Amino acid sequence: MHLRKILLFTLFFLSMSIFADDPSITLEHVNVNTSDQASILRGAKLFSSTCMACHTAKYLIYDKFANSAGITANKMPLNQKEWLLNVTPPDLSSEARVRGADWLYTYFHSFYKDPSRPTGFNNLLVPNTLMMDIFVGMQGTQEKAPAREIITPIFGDHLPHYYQVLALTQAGSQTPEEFDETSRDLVNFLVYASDPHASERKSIGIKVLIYLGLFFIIVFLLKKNIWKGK
Amino acid sequence: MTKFIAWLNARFPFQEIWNKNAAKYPTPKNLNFWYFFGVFSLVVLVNQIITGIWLAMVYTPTSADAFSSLEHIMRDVPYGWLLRYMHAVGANAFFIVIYCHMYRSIMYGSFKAPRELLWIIGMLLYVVLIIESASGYALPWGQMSFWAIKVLTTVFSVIPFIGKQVVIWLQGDYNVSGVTLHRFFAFHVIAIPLVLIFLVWAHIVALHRVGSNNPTGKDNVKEIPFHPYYTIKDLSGVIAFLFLFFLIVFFAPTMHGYFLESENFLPANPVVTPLDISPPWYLAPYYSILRAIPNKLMGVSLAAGAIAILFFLPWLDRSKLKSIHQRGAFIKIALTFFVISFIGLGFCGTSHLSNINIIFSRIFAMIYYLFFLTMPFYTKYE
Repeated sequence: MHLRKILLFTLFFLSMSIFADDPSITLEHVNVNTSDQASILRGAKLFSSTCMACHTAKYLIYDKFANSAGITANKMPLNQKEWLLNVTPPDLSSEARVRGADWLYTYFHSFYKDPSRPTGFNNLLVPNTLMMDIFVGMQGTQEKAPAREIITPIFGDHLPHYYQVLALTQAGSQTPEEFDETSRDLVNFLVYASDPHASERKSIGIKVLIYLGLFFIIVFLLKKNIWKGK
Repeated sequence: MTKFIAWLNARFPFQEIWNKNAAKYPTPKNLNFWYFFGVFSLVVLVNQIITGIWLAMVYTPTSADAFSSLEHIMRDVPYGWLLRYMHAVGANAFFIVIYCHMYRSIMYGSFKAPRELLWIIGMLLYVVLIIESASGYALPWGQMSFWAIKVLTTVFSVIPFIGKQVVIWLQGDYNVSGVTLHRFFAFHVIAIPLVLIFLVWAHIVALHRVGSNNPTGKDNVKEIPFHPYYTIKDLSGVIAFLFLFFLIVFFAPTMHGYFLESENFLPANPVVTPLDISPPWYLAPYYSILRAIPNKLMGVSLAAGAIAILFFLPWLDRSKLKSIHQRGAFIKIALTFFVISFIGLGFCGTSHLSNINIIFSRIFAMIYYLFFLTMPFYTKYE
């Protein structure tokens, strides 16, 4: 009984450390387009070449589109057992559903240099994240700029934007605009990954609604006719 | 063909059943919009059964495979996503429809003599539907499934003396586990649907014994046969309903977290508690009563009592008049407050717990109970 209590207590505190952080910055808005095939494909290729070094997307292994971009079971680190501090990186198949597109987009943007961390990098949205800053080559190095005066509006969001807290100290291979597009591709892909049939769903939906609309007109006229004089 | 029909009717009363319940079933001529919700609930029930059968063909009710079998349905099974979304949206639509149906009944006094038993069967249906939805809520085996079921079963631990035993009996284990999932699956797909279908049948039999009430609440309105007048009217209503239904299924199936919670796309993890454990919106009113009362046993009793008190409605309302249109200002004011309190409780139950939330939950809970408890007095003088 005692052991169970201690175990529960420990687990409770562990879980607190994972979920206790409220977002400390404003989420940036990203325009997701579930039918932008080119963007999704670019995101998928980036995912297979970069993210899949650590992350899996195991529910995509039968997805032909993902397979064509190089996302296959044999390339995923499905059997790797050893991870930094024994924390297994999460499977990202449904990550966009869980976190939301804006969250992912902001997360990609808010890494900064922090020598006190084992990876050398930290993140504003998930403080003490164990994820490496894989974007540093493209985005460049960001550092916290404590001297910077953060002007938050009196009305609306009080939380600062990531770019108000961080400053780009060393340029990467992409301009900030190009990196925004790269992030958007990756978000587009992760949104696709979490709900691969979204595009198909909407196109079928329009047909179903048109059918029902026409059917309604016919039945409504029939009803008028039958009820005439009642 | 006529010979064959005669042959059939000599052996089974098809013609009699059809005449009694449709072709010659007298129905008030003046049934309005609110009378659609009965047939809508029937449509949703059929939707749930049919999509449910196909989902059960692929779904695996074990703690190891439940989550991934659902992902398999959503991604790899042809049109699996459609079946799942129709089932999930259907479950939510069921409650929207049932709440409108119940509101209609309260508004037009359809629960009053001679329809008390009809009302009670309907209330039993509502309770069984809650059990059905709760057991179905466990099946995706995501974080919310696990923790909501954990909270729900823990609620029973407040029962004096036998509480702990009841919880273990419900879970089939010392914690919510694969055993719980498996038995909830059995309940969800066999036991409760059988009860549900039996009660629906009883509800219709009881209705056809006493006939439909109508918006005026008077008995002397002109009646017309159900078929073809109401079959065609209901069909037009059903198509309009399906239009809205599929609008959600195809374009907003998760309803921004109200129909399918984003948290539930994380597999169940018994060691990580989500920050907010909230019940589905249709149970939120009772949940916020539960949360607002400091004493656990009292909270559970009052939350359960909020449902139980509805059973007694036919005897709490002492007015001889049925419809809101015939009745005085008291019931109109009271009903308005009741609707505000129910929606308010639902709102409190789905939002973050805070001091203001608790204060409002208590105020709304009080109004909710006052609506019923003072009813014998304010309805007496009409």
